[in-house]
Amino acid sequence: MPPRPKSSKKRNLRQVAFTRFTLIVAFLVLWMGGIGVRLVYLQVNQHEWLKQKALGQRQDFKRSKMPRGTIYDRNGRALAMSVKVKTLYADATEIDDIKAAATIIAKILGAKESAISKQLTEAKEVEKRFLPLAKGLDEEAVQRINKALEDTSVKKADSPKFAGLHWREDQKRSYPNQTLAAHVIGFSNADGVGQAGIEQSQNDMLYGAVIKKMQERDRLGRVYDETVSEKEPPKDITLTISTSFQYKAEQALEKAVKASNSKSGMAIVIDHKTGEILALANYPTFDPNNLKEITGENLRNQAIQSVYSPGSVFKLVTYGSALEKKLITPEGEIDSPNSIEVAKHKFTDSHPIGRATYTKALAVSSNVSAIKTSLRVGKDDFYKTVRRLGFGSRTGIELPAETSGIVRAPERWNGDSLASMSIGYEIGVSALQMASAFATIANNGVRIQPHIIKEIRQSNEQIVPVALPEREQVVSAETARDLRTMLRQVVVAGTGKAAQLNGYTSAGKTGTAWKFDEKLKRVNSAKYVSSFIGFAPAENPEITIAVVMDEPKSGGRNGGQAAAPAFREIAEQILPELNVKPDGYVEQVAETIEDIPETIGNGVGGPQETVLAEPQLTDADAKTVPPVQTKVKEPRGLPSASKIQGPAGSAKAVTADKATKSKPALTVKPPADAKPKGQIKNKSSTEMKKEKT
Amino acid sequence: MRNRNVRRPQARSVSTAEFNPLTWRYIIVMIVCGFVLASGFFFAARQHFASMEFGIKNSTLRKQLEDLESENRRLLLSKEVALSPGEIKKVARNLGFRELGTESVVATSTNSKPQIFAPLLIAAKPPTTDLKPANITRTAYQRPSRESPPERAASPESVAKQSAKPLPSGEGRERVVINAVAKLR
Repeated sequence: MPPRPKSSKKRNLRQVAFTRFTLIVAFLVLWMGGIGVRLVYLQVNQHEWLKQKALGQRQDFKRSKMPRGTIYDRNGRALAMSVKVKTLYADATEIDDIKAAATIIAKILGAKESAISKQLTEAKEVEKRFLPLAKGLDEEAVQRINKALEDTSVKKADSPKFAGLHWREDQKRSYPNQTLAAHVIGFSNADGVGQAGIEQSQNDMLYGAVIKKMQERDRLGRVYDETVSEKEPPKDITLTISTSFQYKAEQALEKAVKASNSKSGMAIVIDHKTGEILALANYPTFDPNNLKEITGENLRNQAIQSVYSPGSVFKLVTYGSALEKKLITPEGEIDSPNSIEVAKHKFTDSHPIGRATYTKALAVSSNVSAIKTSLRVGKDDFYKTVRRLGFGSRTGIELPAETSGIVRAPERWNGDSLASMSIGYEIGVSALQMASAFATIANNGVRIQPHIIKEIRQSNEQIVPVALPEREQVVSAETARDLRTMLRQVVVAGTGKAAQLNGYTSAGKTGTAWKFDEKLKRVNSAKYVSSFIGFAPAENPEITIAVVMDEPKSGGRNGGQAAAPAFREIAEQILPELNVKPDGYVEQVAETIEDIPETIGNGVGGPQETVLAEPQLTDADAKTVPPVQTKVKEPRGLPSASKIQGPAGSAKAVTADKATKSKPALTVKPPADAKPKGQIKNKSSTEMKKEKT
Repeated sequence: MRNRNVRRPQARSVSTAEFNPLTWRYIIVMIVCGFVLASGFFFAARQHFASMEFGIKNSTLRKQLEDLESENRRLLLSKEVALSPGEIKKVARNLGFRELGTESVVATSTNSKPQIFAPLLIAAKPPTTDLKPANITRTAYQRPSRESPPERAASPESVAKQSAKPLPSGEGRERVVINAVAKLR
């Protein structure tokens, strides 16, 4: 057999190689084509799904809330602040073995396994992704739970390392002083929305904005990039109230309410030179940390939301109007018979004073004198003074639901309305309005809008400008000075002797009025609103204090007996703290003090049951009752010989204090060279007149 | 016959081709470019990982800051609770203090010199000797004058400064720091 030619062998090899090469290329082309097709399918058809899946693995969205702004007192003490807490919740869709999970969770949280198992099962059925298991946990508890729940087999970015369980950041509002200033601060609900007090009125400032965070995580779950949608942080609010003053006012008020067995009480302390409210107390009160205990009775901020007939404290306006018109002078005299009839309405004094100075008439709270004075003033000027002193309109304090009171226009007055209003009836006022009127007199006739917010601060300590309080010269400085002189005599020789201070002089006015009874649809002579509003020191006042007691039931029920002791206690504690120099004497034993009974009621006849639309009002009744014969309760500090008071002019001296009884009386006299600012010695108005003449 | 010198085409030796300067330039440029490119990639990768590392550290520090702020708020709240008048009263009672009653105050006021600016003369009757000394002396906390108002007692800044100081035996503080270090690790 001839050998095959060499060239044909070569050709065959080339063919084989070519064939192989073609096959490989074809395979590669097919392979790459398949990959291409797959890529097109993944990137075109499944683009969105894959993208979401990738982002879900890498990105994490979180929503959290900035802590609500803090409320401070004037000295920087926190009154309300929020702290971060955490909520442990379950995403039921992520849990496979519910029973096993429930066993572990129940063991760690100390809950019932069956209850948790049931909750998880129900949540899984409806694909619920948020099932709270434990709320309001602090960092320590969170760490403890994380440690207990740690499952090394679970690969999870966040803690706890347990399938289906997550943490959510929350915040909790805390009020460290419990009941202190509860009516001023108010409270906020679980959603961080203010429901009362400053929390409600300043909710926009305090509200913690929601922050959205977008976090990018690596394969180990570590956050390597974070995008935060920054919002304006909430602001902090500094109030004018002082924790110390507030506490003292609340303690004195509580004591007075309990002593007189009153339904409720309110006390206000104002720095009349600036209009700042240093303390605003209500009793009964509530603890904003415990919302379950809040009821309609203790929630109401009566000092600004309730209206009452002020009674004799309103004589300030009557005499103020007359002094402003220069119709009277403090030393001027007035004939004051036992009764007066105005438009068939007979007004009676409990104790006839005869001819007396206006100072004495105010000191003993003579209704007849006040009515006669008001009739000289005239209704237009009287109404003008009432309005200028702020009655019938809101004071503008930064607290919610402030009442404007009830003041009718002169066109709607009856024939006896002027007479009734001059002694504090047929008018509705709030305790704050009344305190503001006295503050105006204490501040030389300049009315400064009472306010409770001192400043608002942003997180970077930048102060947000707050509108300055309005100032207005309501009455002349001369009128204010004369009124202060007259009010001083109320404390020295009038119905407000219980408001005499230890070491300081004071001035003020008592008020006792009958309350309107909604059941009876008329005033109830058994229900009083007793008040004492005054300022101290008398000559150069530093603070104005108003104390109002609602329905005192036992002990002395007049303003001088139920409210004045609280005034004294508050003033005696606050004045030294304000570094006010004492200007009076420390009384060891008071001289024989005759308690002057206060005339209560609005006379007889005339159009009774004056319509006053708002609740909590007192109004006139048909007679003047003699004062309750009760031993005046002596608060601490004054071992004075108090009297058991009887009907007018029949005061009988009885020593009240045990210590005074058992110990020799000490009479304290000032040295000849020492001239204190204020008059403390009890001088009668005639003595004063003689001195002046 | 004419002898011709037929110049055969001589194949270029490898060495000649290798030593061609033009080719060398190309190769060097290529190498440099490759090196630059590789270095760029390397640098970019390094930057990328460094940025991730910084991001992680940044995130950890931010978390730590938030935790410390929360802790600061909690401490401030605890301080305010401890300083609240009600709490002080409760603690004082537990320590055996009594509230000032009327009798105590009366006894004190009759025995002690009154703290007022005007001196007093006790003229009518001399003080008796049979009075028992007071058990409790009334004291009043005197605040600094208004001209120099005191620094805010519990402002957030002051508390923050206080908390920033190392505490010798503050367990709470130690815990926070330990947590922070653990997170950094």
